[in-house]
Amino acid sequence: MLKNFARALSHPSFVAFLRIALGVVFIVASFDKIQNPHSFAENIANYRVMPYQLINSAAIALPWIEMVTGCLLVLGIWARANALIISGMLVLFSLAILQALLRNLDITCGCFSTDSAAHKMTRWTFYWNLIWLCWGILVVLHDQGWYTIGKVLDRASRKEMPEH
Amino acid sequence: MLALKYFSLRSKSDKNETSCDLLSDDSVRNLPNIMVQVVVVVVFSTVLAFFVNAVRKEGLSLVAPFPPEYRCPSRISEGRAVPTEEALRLYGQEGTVFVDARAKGSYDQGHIRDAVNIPYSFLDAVPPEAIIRLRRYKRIIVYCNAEGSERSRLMAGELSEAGLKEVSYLETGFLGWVKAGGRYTGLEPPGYE
Repeated sequence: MLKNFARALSHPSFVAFLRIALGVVFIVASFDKIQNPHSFAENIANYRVMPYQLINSAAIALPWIEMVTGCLLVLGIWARANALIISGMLVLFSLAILQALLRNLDITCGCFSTDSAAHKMTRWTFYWNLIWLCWGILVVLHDQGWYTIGKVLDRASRKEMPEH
Repeated sequence: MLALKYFSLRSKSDKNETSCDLLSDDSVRNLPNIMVQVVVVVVFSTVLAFFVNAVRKEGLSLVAPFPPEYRCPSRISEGRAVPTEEALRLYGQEGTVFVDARAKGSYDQGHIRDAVNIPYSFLDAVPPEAIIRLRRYKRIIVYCNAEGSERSRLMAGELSEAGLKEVSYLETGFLGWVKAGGRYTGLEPPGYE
């Protein structure tokens, strides 16, 4: 039973699906932050964990790291490296969310929207981060390069080659 | 425990398969490559981010000019509210002063008669010379444009914290004052009909 479950979880098609889904999640998450860096900086400041001198730099860099890693994950380029980066970010996000929840900070997550009127952070914000973290770890451990842009192009070029 | 069982099952089941898993020996040898790729992606993304930030009009400064706590007014205690009727009764009494917390432009357009203008901003402390000037009054009533104005509430709190006694804020603001028939100089406040 457990063996079948383990096999299913690490099946290349399933891992490829997780890889693409995780990439899409991070691309979508980066849009609003890239458009509104000032609001995102305030979101980061609200967590009250980062020295204020670093807040703006983090607000500038983080969304672009999310965007680039998300795109590369969807395309399947350096998938494990990008999944590793995303997993690392998710660990940091989870810790930040956890400390905010433990300190009862009444703040918004800033995960997908920088709008301060967006939904407040709850335990489910933390749980979702853990779920995505599990996805990321599965991709790091088991990605076998299925459905990548390289494979798709390779297949297409083979079809175009004349048969001898 | 579940995770350990999962990984042990994976490694057992992989023994007879050609696997690309990170748990396999080949992939462990690939770890340095993966780490190089991680560094390349992070450096590339960061350079791209700072480049875009530099060229866009609404880009952020690399370092915030002051701690975010200074922007957060919730740290400052709030003053006591004074209803318009009570303020009208206190107006003109010896030792009572009305403080206009708005910007000088708004004060110049119209204000409660005899009020003094000390523009208040969340970002800066009230100037010490203004506090010295207010010490000679027994009762200070801060006001702003209209009801619900955070500025007068917070300024009253800050003045109290600075050691001034009997500091309160006009609950309905300048608008409520004019509507209630209070004396004023210049134009009527915005929103007055």
